[in-house]
Amino acid sequence: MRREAHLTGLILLIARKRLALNLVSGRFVFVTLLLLATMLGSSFVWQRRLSEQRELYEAARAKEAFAIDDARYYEQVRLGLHKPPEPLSVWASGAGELFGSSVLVSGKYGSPRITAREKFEAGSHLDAPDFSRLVILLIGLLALLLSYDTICGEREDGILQLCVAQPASRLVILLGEYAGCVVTLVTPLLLAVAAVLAIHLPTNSAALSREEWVRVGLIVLASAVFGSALIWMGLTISAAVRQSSTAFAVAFVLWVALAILSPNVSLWVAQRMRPIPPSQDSLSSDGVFGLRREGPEETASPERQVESQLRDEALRRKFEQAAVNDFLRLWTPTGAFLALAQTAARTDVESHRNFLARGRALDAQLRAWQKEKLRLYPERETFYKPSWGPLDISGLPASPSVSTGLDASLTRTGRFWAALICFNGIFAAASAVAFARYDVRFQ
Amino acid sequence: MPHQTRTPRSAGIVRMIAEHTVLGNLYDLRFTFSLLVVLIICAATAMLSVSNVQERHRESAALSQQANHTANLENRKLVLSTPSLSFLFDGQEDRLPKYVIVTPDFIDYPIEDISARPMIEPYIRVDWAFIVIYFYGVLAILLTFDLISRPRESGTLAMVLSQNVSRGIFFLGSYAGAFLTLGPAVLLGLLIYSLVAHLHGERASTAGEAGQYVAAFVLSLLYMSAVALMGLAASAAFRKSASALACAFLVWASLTIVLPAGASICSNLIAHVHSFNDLNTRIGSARARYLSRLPAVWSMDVERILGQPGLTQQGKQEAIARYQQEILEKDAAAIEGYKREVREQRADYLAKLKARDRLESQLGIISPAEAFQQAVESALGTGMKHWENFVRSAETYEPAYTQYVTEKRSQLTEKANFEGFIMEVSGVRVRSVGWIDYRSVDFDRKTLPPFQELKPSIRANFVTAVPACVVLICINGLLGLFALWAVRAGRVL
Repeated sequence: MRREAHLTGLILLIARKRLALNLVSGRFVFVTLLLLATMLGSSFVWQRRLSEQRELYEAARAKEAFAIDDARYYEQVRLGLHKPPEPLSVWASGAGELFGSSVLVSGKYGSPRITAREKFEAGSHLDAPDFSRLVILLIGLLALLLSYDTICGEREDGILQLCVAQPASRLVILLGEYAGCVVTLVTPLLLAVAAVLAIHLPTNSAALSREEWVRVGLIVLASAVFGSALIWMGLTISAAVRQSSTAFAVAFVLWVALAILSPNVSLWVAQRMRPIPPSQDSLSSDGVFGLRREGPEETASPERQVESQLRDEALRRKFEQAAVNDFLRLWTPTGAFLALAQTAARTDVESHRNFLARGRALDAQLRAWQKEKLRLYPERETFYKPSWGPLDISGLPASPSVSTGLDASLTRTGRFWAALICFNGIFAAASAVAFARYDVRFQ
Repeated sequence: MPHQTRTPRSAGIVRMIAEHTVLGNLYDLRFTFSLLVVLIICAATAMLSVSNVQERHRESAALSQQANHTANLENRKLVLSTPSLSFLFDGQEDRLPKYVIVTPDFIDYPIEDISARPMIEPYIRVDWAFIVIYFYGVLAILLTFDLISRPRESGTLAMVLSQNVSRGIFFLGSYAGAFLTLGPAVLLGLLIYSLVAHLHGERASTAGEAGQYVAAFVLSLLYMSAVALMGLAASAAFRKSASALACAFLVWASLTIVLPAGASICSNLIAHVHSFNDLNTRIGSARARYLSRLPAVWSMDVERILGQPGLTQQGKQEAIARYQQEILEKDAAAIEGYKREVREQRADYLAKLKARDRLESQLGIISPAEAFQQAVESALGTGMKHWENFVRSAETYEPAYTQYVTEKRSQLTEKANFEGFIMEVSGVRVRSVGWIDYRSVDFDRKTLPPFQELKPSIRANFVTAVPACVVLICINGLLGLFALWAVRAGRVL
């Protein structure tokens, strides 16, 4: 017990030393300020985007309700399932509306039509990184900057030789340095979280529910675990080279590879492995005058049906690409963290898949409803007489809830947690082995 | 006389220090290994870039054919071609619209459903500019971060400066040595890139295009020089080489990645463009106004006309025809009013987008990487410059298209699709038209006025590159002055 207390005391001592050194270093101050500034700017942009998405969602629902009220015969009755914008998309934006956000079902009068409320115009999109991407970029960078010269830098200064000469094993020294770096990293992380909440909470019309707070907590915890993995990586590099300048170069290249290249490389590989054939409707937009023709009354035309089939095929391929991407992401800490954050925020591809499945289920329910009503009122399928009165829409299927429960999200995040913890373990073991063999002599 | 004897001596010392720096770099395993990696990346990037460009050529050709086939009397789509040297710098052409929509009196851009977009937006370009900014930039920093700090750490700097060598001369010699190492490295990389591109079928086919190659090389050297000065300044400002390296990288990363992103956010805040939903709402209001202006066809009006006393059968037919004509004129006026309002709203929206983009490129140009990209884009006529030229060509074409369509519509009015309804009252039919659509009207597409994309001359391209080039030179100057000050002010021991 006394020995354990002594070891704990040593670890705390070394951790305090590392914390003190890190907090006054220029790179820590610089990256922390940069992180805060970008978090504030990005949160502001995302919050505004969320408000615009909410307006689009409300407008889509209102339009559908109005269309149902206005229907005079059964062919006109169409239903829509609309995915509400995720309040947690500020934390991890995920795929956004790339997989569609509305399913318009016509029952027996056509196949379900998947669209996105958001329109794309070249140059009109502001691609601000969300919280999770900023964590990968800046917390990841900070983690490496804090840890790359803990071993080799102290060796160059002559301090390491003195530390190892003390009655403390190398493992204890390593754990102490790690603890100091982790505590240093937690400070800017919490400041970043506070910055996002400072923008998000006052401007959010509905307060976050208890479940959403739990999800935010998961994302923040995942950020800390991700930062921890990169600190271990930095310690490994530091213990593997002699000069701190070499350690920095290696750390920087790894940061570029993990934070910038790997998310894009995995998507690029997924696109190459599951290519989407070029669509025949590449020139389908007629610009602003083409918007006039959008609407459920157009879905029955043969042209639109062919377009719809091509779009469905492209969407199916996109899901396949997403599945390949999810598999490849497990092999890097950045990919695992990003996937975890998106799953916790309900912006992952699986939530879109579930949403579209509910849309198809709604289509089946509408078909059954149409069959029943047309059995009772066969003459009102495509014809209307004012003397018949309003259309009987009793029993019309209601749009089901589209949100994913917390339990389902927690289950899905299991493998990503496992991957992050594995990375921590692997790098921790590597750094311990490298440090155990390290020549600590000053010259 | 003393000045004349001093100048050759100073030049000799600069040459000596430069030679020493070059030789030191060439024998440095770190540099040779890094250069080898960069050259391999050059070859791989060239293959990828050429493959992308050729795919874009094929897609553009297929789309052009499709656009010619689907041209109608409502709109004509003009497809963006791929410029010849876009494998050197494509300026994110994948993010630009693939076509413009020419309608009578208006040019519009496509509006896509976002679910039709690919999962990954190819915002990391794969071209020569990408290699220069990221790989050669890192190489320049690795080469220069310890040119001052390492001699200081080892004590060599004190010995050199004690030999009556000024700090300015030492700095100049180190800079010259770094430049003379990086210059051939960049040239070698560009040669390998061009060779691989040539083997895959992309090459400079005219003297002008060869001149553009040279311009790209010179601009690459200017960028490398700026990054080298960053490294030298950091080396002079910090005592430890590791700190100098960290500082140089952070400054480079801030100027290359953070500053352009900051410029994008600032431009969005300063020149905010109302959302597309807002535009849609305004168009919805215009639509409501147009629907309210559509004349109503009342059966009682028709009956009133038919019931007028003293009118013969022919008189009734003429009265009905006048009534019909009045209805159709009001219909046409309402439709034209709606189209005018929509055009105004859309033009306002597009103008604001353009103003925001212009502000973003003006704010971002203080980054050496952005200045370099803008200069190369202008010199090669690719990316946004290519897009702007294309839009100008479309604007030149639009009046000819409008005139042609106006004539054809007047000849083929009866074949148009009249959206509306026909009311039958007492055997008389009166039509009310909500919209007239000419999309499905068949006509001989060979008689359409031909579209010719205006390609500016190479000289005009170079002229447009001058402002960005001047900014890049000024950045070099400022960084050089700062580095010189850091060398003069720093400690030797």
